[in-house]
Amino acid sequence: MEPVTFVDRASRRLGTYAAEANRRGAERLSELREEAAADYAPLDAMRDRARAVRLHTLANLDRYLSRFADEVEARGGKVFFASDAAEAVEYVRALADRHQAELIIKSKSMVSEEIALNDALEADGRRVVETDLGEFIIQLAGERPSHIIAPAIHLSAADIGRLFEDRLSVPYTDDAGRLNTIARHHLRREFLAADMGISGVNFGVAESGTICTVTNEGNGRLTTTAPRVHVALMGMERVVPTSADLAHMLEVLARSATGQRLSVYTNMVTGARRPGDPDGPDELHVVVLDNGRSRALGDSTAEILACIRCGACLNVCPVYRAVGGHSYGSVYTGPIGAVITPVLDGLGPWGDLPYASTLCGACRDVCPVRIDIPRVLLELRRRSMDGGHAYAWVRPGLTAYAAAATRPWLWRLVLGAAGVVGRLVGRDRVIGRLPFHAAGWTRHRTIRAPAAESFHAWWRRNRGA
Amino acid sequence: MPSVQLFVTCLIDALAPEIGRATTAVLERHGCRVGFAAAQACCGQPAHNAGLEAAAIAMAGRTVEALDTTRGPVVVPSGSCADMLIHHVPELLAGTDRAAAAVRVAVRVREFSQFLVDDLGVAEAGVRCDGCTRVYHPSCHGLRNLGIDRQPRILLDSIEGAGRREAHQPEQCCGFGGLFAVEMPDVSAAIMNTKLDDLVSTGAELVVGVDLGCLLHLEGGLRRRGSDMRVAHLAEVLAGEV
Amino acid sequence: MEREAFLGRVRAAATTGLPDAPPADPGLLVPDLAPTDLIERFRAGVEAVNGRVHDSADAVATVVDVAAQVGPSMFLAWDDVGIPGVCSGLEAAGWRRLAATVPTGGRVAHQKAYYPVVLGVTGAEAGFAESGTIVLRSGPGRPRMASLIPDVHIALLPRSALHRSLAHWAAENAASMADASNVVFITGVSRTGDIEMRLNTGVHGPRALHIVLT
Repeated sequence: MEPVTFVDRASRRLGTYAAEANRRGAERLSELREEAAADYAPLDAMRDRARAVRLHTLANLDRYLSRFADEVEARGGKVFFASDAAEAVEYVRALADRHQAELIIKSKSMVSEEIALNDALEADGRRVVETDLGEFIIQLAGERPSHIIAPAIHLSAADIGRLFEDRLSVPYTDDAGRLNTIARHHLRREFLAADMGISGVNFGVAESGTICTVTNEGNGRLTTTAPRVHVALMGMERVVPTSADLAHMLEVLARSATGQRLSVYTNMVTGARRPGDPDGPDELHVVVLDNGRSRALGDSTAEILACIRCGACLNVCPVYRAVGGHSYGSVYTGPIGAVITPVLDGLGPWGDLPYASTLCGACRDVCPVRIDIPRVLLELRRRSMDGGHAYAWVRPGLTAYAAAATRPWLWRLVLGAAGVVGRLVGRDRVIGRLPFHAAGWTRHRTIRAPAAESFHAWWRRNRGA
Repeated sequence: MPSVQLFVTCLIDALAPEIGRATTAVLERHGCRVGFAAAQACCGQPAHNAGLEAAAIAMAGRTVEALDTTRGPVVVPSGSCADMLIHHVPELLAGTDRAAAAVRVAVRVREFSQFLVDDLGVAEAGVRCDGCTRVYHPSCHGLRNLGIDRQPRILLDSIEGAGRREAHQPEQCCGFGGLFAVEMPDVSAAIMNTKLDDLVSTGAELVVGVDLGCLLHLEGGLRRRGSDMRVAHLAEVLAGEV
Repeated sequence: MEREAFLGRVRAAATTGLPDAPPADPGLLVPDLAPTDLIERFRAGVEAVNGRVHDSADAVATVVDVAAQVGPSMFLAWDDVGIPGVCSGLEAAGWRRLAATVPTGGRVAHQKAYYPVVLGVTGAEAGFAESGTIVLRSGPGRPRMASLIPDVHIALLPRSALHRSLAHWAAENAASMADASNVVFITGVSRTGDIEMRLNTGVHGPRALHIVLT
């Protein structure tokens, strides 16, 4: 059973192959992003523009969603508004039922993982096949993604070779190229035979009802072209007002995610097959999901909904690099996960997640829409502390500390006492073991003993009052 | 002769007053008259970062009140405390009876290296240090929130004697994070070890920084792994005490 | 949930404290680049993403030559790739063109035939030099599958349709992204780093992309 606190989940993963693989992946993607940024002077201005587009959209979200739905429907598509995970799952299950969809293929959709759609469809006896190579691999392994854009990065090629040997009945190989070819051939058959394709949505365009999906592999295109029914799952915040805005967002997305100028396939779908089109799906359904997002909207944490899921924040985060994605315990990981999960799901179960950060600010520096994640983390920590959701032991200590720090006479007393203690217990002014919660420090570090004479005392002695 | 106020910070006050003395000495050497408002203690950052707003307001308010009785630049030998006073305390105290004082104080606050290089125009450290090949660790709050990076490097590069090395990933966090170090000690240590591996690999004898929290955390890790590498605050290096 | 109830909840949750004015348009944001021949810049962009650009006097012959590396067998194609003679040229070299219109019933049976297809030939309506991208649009006589399922994709692109970048093209043409059921920007060959961050090409989309200028 997965432990319920971040520290427990992290502790069992520190130093493991999976965590180290996550680190290597994160470092590599960060390097690529930095090279792309260094090479592209307008990127800062583009990030400002991307942020402005996203915030304006959020401030007018109901209008843009309304327009989006009108446009999709004008082109023969259907839009379903799902207030929560259960409604979204029900809709897709009913659709699969109506179309007697036995084989369903999926391209990357974090929303589908958020609502646990695969489990529900499989429970109905349908076969659901993930087609993004990383998602396909973790589906076979029965695991969750460890990174927003490289979900299987925590597995080695040998792990994957064994997995394929076991689940696909192919001879073992740990050669990445051969493993790719095996996946290509296996998934091709599924693509061409599937009854329904479920995709995510990178961006919905309000003015035209266009759905944009972005992949490097081509599975996004195949998922939204081959089957007769296409279902697109969209977090309700993923709209932009116009096609021009879409172009602006595309310019920052791939650069921030992988350092590429554009992903290999930027796929824009507007409605289902038109009269005269030789191929494409016969039906298009768009499921627009709330599932807690409206909680963030009216709130000082609203800017987290501007996220375009590029993964840049994960890649630079020292905490993510140390513990890997699975430590975050949820679909969304890294810095953005530490704010989105508590907001969507509540601080009750996730009260400690906003504390999984040193507040170093590296995430804010790389975010293409300039989300001030540290500010949101602090806000969520306030709420968590007020609600008693995590680190309650900190309160008495800090309250006592504040009592001393606001009374100069008491501060003097405390520092004086600390100086005495320091002289007694510190050997060469170093302490090897601290009591209670402070033992966490000395588990891995020594600490200097308090100075015999504080700065306050020295100043009084040498410089007068 | 410019008059400056020293906000010495709670950590230096209790654990490393020699840094406070060194800061004072360096400022005086560069022609400043240094004042110290005795009622100061803590800027409130630990409570603020923990989400304990009431305690943070109390501490920040007391500090602001103490500093507001003085005039002139407030020099802070800590990037994170300077950041707290400049960027967070005004918002924290907005709506209290110290709101105006908080704003008045915020515009006076200068981190130590920033004050020396940008305000006083100091470009030469004016010291010699033969036994200290050094590597600079840019603490995160100062680096990202105050833009402090160039200033310490200018001063360190001008020191005669042993030279400066560069870490491979200098801007990666050291893993201190304040209370994070005891709230998530294993994660903090894992990040610390990555940083220490990097710093130790440079072959430098000394890690120099402008934030005592980070330095104590790194020093604690170095001692625990039996390393000879030392840590020093920039003020100590500039005061010739290393 | 009913649409009005859903949107009503969104409206009620309305954002306070988020800037409401539509963002000011900073205009075309592009880097300064040394002036270079657009075709050379496009070629460099395409090669950087593992594609090839062919700039010859006889496009049809080029198509047939490139195709010869993998066949002849079956191919998928657009009816009109921008210049005449391409499909007939391939057929003369022994290639057989596969029907690409998917019937409304019997889709799966029809698509089974696509499995072994190694070649797809299409037109392209625009190219972005900076990123090495081509733009394809679906419509009558233009199956999406032709650029998607085969191992090798040959796209014929008019030289006059080259733009410096996505931003340049979008400044005039953004709205046209919605003028078809499918518009796709293709930037190089299918790739993934999902296994140990090692780059591999030809995962689901074509393994090879040849852009023939016309």
